[in-house]
Amino acid sequence: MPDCLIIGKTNVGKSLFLVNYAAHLGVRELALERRYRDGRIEYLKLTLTEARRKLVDEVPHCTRYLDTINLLIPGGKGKRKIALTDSCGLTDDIHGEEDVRRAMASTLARLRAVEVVLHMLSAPMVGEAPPSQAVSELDRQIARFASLRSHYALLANKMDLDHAKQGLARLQKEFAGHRVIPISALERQGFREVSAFVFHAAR
Amino acid sequence: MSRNEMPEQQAPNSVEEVLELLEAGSITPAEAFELFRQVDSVVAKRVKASTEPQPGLPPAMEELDDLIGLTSVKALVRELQAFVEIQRRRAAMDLAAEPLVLHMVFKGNPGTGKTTVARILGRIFREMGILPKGHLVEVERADLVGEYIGHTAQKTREQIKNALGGVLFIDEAYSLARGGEKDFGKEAIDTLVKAMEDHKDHLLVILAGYLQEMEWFIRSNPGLRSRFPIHINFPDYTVDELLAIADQMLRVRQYRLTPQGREKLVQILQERQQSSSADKGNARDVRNIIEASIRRQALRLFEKKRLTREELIMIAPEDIEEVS
Repeated sequence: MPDCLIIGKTNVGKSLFLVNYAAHLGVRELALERRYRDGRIEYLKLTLTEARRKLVDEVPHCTRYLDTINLLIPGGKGKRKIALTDSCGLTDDIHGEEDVRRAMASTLARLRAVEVVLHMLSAPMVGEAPPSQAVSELDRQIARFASLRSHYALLANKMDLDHAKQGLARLQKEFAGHRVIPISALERQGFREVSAFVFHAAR
Repeated sequence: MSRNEMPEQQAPNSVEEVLELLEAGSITPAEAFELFRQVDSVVAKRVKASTEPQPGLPPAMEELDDLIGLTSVKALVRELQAFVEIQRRRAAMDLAAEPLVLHMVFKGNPGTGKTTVARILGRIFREMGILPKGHLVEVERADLVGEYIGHTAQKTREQIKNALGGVLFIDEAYSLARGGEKDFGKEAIDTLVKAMEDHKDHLLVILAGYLQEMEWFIRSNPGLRSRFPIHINFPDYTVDELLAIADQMLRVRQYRLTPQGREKLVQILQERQQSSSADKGNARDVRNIIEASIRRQALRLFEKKRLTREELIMIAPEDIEEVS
């Protein structure tokens, strides 16, 4: 079964995407496989409401482990099974807490092993920033690294917010040659395009 | 600390070391990516050095497994392998052993892997000790059939002699029966059947061609049916399989398709699939498309002064064209 990783900076909406995308695909209860950096694995079952409450938070670094769910992605003739993993957000700077740094190391280790990478950015954040700082070195590095090793797409999230359109335009320019899919994890927009990409990549 | 300030001796040797630096708070995630690339390029060089010179070919069975698709063919080859091995062990214990009649008929459209599988089979049978040499001699009607009486037997015997110890692969074998009773093709078949009796242990004959033509050919030559007990169908490749073949080809050559390039290729393959020609699932055509795209990419990049690693790797949509 192909592995697909959601990666990106903190608070771009990775965990909310995982939950709402699963809901969009008809999942009623999330069976999570939670992996810690020391190799420990925990199995959790959450309803969608519980998942939104427990996994998604305004406070950065809510996700400190790798949470994986199995999904059936519809496409062409039938469905393909993939394992979708939510990961700890990455930061531009060195983070002060060891736990968070460990979780980031897990994220990077996982990135090296997966077949499909969904790189998430916040479109309004890119749109609001001064042009010179719109795209960080970290996001460039992720794109450069992941696109040469895996099937790679950029998810421009939070398209429901102000400045998102400008952000999307910037992303399309900065990451020309890569696939950029505009989505709103909150409003569940663009999920069909994500499925088309993942279905295709998950051969 | 930025990577520019990092002392030389601190350069990590492995991915695990990079992750430890990240955990320890010595580097940022962005710097970790930079170090990943350094580590990976060192490892790639090491791997390259250890594989040169080539330490012989991998076992033929692995090579067969590496081929995309061909699931039923692979299963059948495994079955044969088991059968041969068990007959040999039975013989060793003085049990009645089935005679090994391994002559085959390969049925399928052009470019579905018949010749490739035949070549690998020869090597598998050599590794198993069934064939002394295991090489492949590929012939067609013109190589076997002569122009006057007696000429055909002579030409056919010549080719059989070349193939002794290995595989005689007769492509479009049905054309030997094309001209009916009076045709010299008949003489070639008779000579072949006699040679198969004479060199039972040293020759594997594979008759190959389109499905329907081959079925007609075997049906209309009752002598062949019993002598060619193994029939393998080679189905047309699906779009997904053809795409996987393209990917595998590119990966080996260190190229990659851009997402748009991939879309273009998918589109070409899907259009072909909808056509009714025998070439719709033809892997050879896909190989030609990819090889042409690599040449086109070179042409596209040729005029540029500065080229990044990515640009040198990526095959863009404009590089991909349907070959006629």
